[in-house]
Amino acid sequence: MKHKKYNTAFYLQKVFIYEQDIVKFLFSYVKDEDIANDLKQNVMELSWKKLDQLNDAEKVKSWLFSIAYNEAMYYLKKRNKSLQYEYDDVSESQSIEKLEDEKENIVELLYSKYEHALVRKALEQTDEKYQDLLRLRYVEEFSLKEISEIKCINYNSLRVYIVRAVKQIRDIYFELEGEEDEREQRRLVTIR
Amino acid sequence: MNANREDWSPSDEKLKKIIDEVRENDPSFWNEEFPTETDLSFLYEPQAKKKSTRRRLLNAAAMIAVVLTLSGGMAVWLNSDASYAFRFELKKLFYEAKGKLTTGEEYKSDEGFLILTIDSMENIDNAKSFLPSLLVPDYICEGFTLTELEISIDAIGGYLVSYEFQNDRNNYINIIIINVEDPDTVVDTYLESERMDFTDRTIYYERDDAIESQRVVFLENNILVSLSASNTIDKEAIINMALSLE
Repeated sequence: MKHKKYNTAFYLQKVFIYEQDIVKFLFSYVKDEDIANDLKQNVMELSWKKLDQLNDAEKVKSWLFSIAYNEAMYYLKKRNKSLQYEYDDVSESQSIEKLEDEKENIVELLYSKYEHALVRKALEQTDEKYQDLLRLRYVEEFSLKEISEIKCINYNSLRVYIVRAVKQIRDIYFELEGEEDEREQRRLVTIR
Repeated sequence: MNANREDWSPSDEKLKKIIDEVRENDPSFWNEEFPTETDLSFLYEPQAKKKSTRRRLLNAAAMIAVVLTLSGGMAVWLNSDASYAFRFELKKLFYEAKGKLTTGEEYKSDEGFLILTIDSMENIDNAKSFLPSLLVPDYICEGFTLTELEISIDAIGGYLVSYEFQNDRNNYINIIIINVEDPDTVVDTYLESERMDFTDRTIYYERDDAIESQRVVFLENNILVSLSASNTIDKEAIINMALSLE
């Protein structure tokens, strides 16, 4: 099969290199390694077949993740399964700018004092729908626009979701920290 | 800085740093490793050889006959000489291919038919020049792109049109259009399908979840149209697409 715009070398160097990322991404939805691998095979074949539809070679990663997201959703829909969560359009009484300020303050606070183990636990306990977005944003490093395209979320709603995710991390973090302090106090009392 | 970080605020940078450090301390966090192997043979497979035109036409005729007669008691009964009704397989004359090819078009003669193939709606004007009476969807369901439009014309003006649309989820929409020489060979027996009367068109809608498909059929001015699609696509969108064929 020949493509007009791209060749096999492009596919192998620019598309196929995300193979492992795609499996992880698919696993986060289907929670089954074998199925994630099967879907990944479909995604790789589909991306090869549709390679000429890639308009901007710089955006190959988000384009590929969009295909993977659609494949995962299609798989779930066909089996009458659905995600535990949905991203509805959301709004906040505060303006986006105020929410961003709030996010800055929370992150600043966490950044000034965080402990790895507690942050890890807090991230793990954060709602799955928030973890999903945080991974795309801070691990895969997609722009907000790309994430909104990959997951079909309204751009402003996405910004609200990210702020909510950060707030939830903060709440869980301080709750865990409080529990740690309490435990430490009890331990000291026992020693005395 | 990564180009994607252009929209990052200082808090994004800090949050990224926090998460990175967590992941450095525990490389398995948010980093499941899966043994994975991809079968790359699809890279080297030659493009599937096209079915011969005769086979495509017969398949289309058979498909429409099945669609119209067998699926849920739908719609139209074709007489026992269905294949003749479509005329195509009777004609063996070759048209002389002419015209200049442009990117995305294929123009050839095959088994008595003159065929034009395009793979983009951008070239639809050329398809209209090839077959002036071509029905073209003015509305295409969101997310779908044309993967192939093949028009086969026989020596005396009979034609078969096959549109194939796909989206990224591998859903499909196929439209088959055939001009029927003698509309009397098609007898209305619309039974269980849903008849819908619109201002300019009457259509028949049927859905069959057993084969994950839905269809719209109509017969108008000796032109038989069958639009079939994945059942996951919105019914209203499919109907709108059928109504937009002009």
